[in-house]
Amino acid sequence: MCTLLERYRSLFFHCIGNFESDPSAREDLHQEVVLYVLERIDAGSFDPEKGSFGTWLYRVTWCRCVDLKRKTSSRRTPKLTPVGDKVPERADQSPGPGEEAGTEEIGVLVQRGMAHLEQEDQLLLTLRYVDARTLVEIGEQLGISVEQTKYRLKRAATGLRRVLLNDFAIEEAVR
Amino acid sequence: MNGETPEIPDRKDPFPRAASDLRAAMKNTSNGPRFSPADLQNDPKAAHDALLHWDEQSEQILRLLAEHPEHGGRLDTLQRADGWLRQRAADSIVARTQNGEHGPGPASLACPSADELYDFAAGPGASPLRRDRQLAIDRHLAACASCDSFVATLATAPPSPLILGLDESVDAAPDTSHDQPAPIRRFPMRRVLVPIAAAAAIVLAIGVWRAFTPTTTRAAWPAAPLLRGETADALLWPRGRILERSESLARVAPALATAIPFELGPTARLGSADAAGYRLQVFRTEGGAFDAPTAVAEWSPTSAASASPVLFAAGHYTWKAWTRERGLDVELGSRDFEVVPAEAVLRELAAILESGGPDAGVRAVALLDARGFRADARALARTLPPSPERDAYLGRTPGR
Repeated sequence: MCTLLERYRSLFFHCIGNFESDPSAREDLHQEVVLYVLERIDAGSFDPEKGSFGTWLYRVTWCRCVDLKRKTSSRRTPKLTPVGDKVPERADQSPGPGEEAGTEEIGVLVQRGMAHLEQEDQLLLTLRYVDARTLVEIGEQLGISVEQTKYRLKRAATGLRRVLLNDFAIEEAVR
Repeated sequence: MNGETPEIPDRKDPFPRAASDLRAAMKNTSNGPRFSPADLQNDPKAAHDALLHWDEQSEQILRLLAEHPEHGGRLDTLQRADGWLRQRAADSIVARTQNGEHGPGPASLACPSADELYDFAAGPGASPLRRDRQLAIDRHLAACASCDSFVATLATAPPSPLILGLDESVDAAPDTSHDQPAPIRRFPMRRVLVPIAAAAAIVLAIGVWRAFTPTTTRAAWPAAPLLRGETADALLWPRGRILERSESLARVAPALATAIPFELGPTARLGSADAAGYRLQVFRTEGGAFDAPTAVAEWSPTSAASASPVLFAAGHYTWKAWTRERGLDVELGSRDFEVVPAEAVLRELAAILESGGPDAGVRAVALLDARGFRADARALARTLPPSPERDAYLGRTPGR
């Protein structure tokens, strides 16, 4: 079985490479994933009738990586708890007054930045982030494919970042 | 040529650079990481690019950016802006769920399981998701940067040999009877016949595959040419042929229908504290060596990467660039490019992109590259999900 897993080492690292860039962290993740895969194999999770061993292995590896990343890193995850939900039994992590002020400030910056974008880019960002529309819904509204919607959203988001960076540079120059 | 002295010693080069035979024309860095720590410290353009695409950077690069005295604040602003937008999406999901638009409960806010994300992103061997669940996850991705980034990792499927485990020289099928004694070989001829039969089968399979399914050939990233002798040039892109920005192009590939990006190389970076920016000028010519050029655009960007303020009609153009230091313009050089309508290429591009599939983008890049529209190929490649192949393609030419 170890020989088998060794044969798929490249597959493991292809998947893990999406989650870890540091070589030593990749090795650690690889070991964790291999142990998990062995457990799953022992538990009889792999069913040859459902697909090849390679695709099963890739799925298990990817899902394990996601689970481990979710456990270890939540830095980029926005706070999604809606107001009014039950208070969890842990320290209050809601933003303090200073952070609230910072949030308002960044909101003003983003809105000002969006005003500098092309009409379509503004519309795309509004539909996706203000209205939380799906890519399918946005594509239907604009008469474009989902792939094109993705491209244009990416372009609009990059455009907004460019504006924000320019604003930042101007502010620094003024200081 | 002895490698020590220029060939024509008494003729002064108007653009003082080292002769190509005096130093390596190719860059001596690897094509590995997109940015090295030194780039982020010393190259404002690299840092700017890294910030623009911060959500595609490794943790190491993000840490370097965050710790940088100037870039740290910029990164923080961009990350908070992204978080603010996603929080708006989350608020909207909550509001619409409470209005009963998305079914009971704030389900869209809860992160889907890894398995569901895998199926949503159609990873290898994925199972189809129910339509309502698919829409809920799609909506969730607008609010959750983390899940969004996970899904992005599946945009490029692993190569088939990896899935099949063919990159190692051990037997193919999972063998659960590995601790049983090996059978006695009664027919040693198998040792010869089996490899020959396997090789013949592979050759036959490849032949049949190539003969009958030419359109299903897996897309490969084009090998970007090494531009010998030009890595020291300050004017990187555009060069060569550029697709004309037209309505047809906007319909086929919206990502390309924007203003032409102009990129200056590392040698053009603002080196002194007195430097105040760049000046770029574009001239239209008739394509002949002795035609009088007509200035059609001029702008003064503050960074090495900028977009032209105007769209250029089909024709021949030359662009020139200057840095501004101590109030004086220092010329960096000039470069030609040609804007071409190329309807035939657009038709081919449309066919590829409309065909869809996970590698349609790569095939589109390969097409543009093969037809000589390398600046457009690079622009399209930048819109594709990050992968080692993409980075290698973008990294082998200047202007990365």
